[in-house]
Amino acid sequence: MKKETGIAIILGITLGSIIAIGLIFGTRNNDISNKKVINTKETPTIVKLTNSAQQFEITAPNNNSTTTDDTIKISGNAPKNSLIVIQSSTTEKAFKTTEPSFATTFNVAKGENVINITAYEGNSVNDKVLTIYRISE
Amino acid sequence: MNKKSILLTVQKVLAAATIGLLVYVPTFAQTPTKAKITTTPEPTAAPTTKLEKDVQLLKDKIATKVAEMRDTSKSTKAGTVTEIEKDTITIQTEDSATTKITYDDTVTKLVSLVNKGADLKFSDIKKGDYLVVSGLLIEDSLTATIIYKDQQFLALSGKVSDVQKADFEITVITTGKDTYTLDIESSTKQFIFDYEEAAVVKSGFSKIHVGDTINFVIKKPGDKTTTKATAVRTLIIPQEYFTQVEK
Repeated sequence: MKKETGIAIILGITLGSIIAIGLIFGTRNNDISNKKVINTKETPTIVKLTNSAQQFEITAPNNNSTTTDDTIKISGNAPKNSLIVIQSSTTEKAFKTTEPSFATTFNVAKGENVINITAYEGNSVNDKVLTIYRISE
Repeated sequence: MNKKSILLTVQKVLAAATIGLLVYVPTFAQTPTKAKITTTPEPTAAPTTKLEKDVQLLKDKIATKVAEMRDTSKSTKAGTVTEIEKDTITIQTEDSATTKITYDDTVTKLVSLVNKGADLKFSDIKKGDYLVVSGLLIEDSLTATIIYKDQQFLALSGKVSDVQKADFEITVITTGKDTYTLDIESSTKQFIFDYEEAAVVKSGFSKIHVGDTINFVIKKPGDKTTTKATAVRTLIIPQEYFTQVEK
């Protein structure tokens, strides 16, 4: 085999390998960079909730959820200075909110607990019902 | 070097580059995968006496059940009994869906919450009973680990529209615009919101007035058209609270 042929083969394999490695790493880097979404333009939106019903929501726990504990933590959002009344077949509590969000513990009995949570804010009344199951095996 | 030999050399370089690509791309383009590790159970000595055989049979039955349940999801269902068979109960939930509950005396615990947590037998369960069942859901059948015989309640709020002092009854219009006549009995737990102390305190029938706001709990009537019920719990928020809030 001629000397030039040998050199050509070696150079060719080296070049091919470099191109292959470059392609592979380039593809992988593209996958990673595609996951980073950069918003160069962001238009802020401000939503003012004027309806108190929209401002009252229970964020936890989920309705129809199950617990093994004898208390649950009820959290939610309600207009500031609302009177929150929470009542079930075994207990009740009432308190005023000082912030737009609230959180409190509430006792639950074994079996099904139907819990009524009412927010009184001025003359408006909003209520939500949560059903929580306490299972103690 | 003449043109022909240069051309030949370039062709060889390209051919070799192609070979290099074909070798490296399949090798380095692969992504690693995790190996799955499994374990095999160790064999145990065979039982000899009848008692040992019975115990081993029970252990095997429990182990088989547990193994069956391993990849299934735990679920809680509540509903009214519509059918009872040998070891299966069908309940209808609030959304009118039906669920088959499988009872297994080796794994299912039965408790009556209606009878202060007393033990319950499978034969005590009747059509119309309200059950809360927790167990492992396998397709659309629930193998129960615990069955509670329970009572359904309604928890509502509204305004007092009438007070019948002679009969110890009050009429309430709820936030959902339903009207209920509530019997206030000696068993009713009555409370009032003391807005000056910001606390819930015990109360009595005499403190209920027309126009007061009320949160109350009743046993769910069997007949949906029934509007009269005994109050289990009441919490009055006096109208004066809302008057002082407005000021």
